[in-house]
Amino acid sequence: MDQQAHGPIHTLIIPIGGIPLLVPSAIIAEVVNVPELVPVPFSQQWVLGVVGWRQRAVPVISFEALMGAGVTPPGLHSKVMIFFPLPGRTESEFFGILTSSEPQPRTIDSAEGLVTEPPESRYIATCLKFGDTLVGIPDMDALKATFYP
Amino acid sequence: MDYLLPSAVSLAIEQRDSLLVNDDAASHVTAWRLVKTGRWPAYCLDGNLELLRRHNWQRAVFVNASPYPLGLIADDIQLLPAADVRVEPFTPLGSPPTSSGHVFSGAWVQGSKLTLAFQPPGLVAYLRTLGE
Repeated sequence: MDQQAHGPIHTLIIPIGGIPLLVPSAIIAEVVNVPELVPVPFSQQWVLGVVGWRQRAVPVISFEALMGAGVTPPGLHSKVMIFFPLPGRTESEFFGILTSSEPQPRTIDSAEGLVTEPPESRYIATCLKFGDTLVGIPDMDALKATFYP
Repeated sequence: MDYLLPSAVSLAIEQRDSLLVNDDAASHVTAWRLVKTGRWPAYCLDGNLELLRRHNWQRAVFVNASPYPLGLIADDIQLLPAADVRVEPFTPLGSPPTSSGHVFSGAWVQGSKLTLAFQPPGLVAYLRTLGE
């Protein structure tokens, strides 16, 4: 008998340039207004800079640039989503993703009605369709491999 | 742009007057410190740590390295008591730019102000790539 527990999953839809991202709320430490981004010499194009957050230095990326699109500079409604360190990384290695506007909470009660679509980027594990809205679930293993080669 | 350098790796801080300014416009070296065993190069870099040719500088800090120390030209050098500085670990994202790793390994966050701290082996490896 299948004893697997199924409960609602609290998620956030992250608006970025291109397909929005869907992540569990539990992996987000905080959503903040865009602080001053300090450039880090020798960084890849998708690294926007580093910000000070709770006495830590947190690198901030452009997810769309990581996927090969151009860098979208911070806008009036942009936020930085601070992510907890990826599994296996040190406790200081928070990172941030720049959004184009405020993330939207969404509770997923069941997989019913969810349609999966193949991803178009190696940084997206899978795509889900809620009605007319297509969102991408980031592939954290791929992010980890690129962030910390 | 301000950067932090651990004082443990700083071998010498020299005034411009103590250095031999390099007039060779084709050279990457801005000035030399002459020593008995030869000369130590000092490089002028911009905020992105790219080579820069300018003349209105005053000081250089030399970093202990083998086979000879390497210098970084600076507008100003402040000696900060260790007790006043709190450097937190920071891992830059992406591939390291040098064979000795990233050029930064920490940062000092004071409210909204953030200052990156050099990782000496990475800095030395980068300076070494600049040649003469």
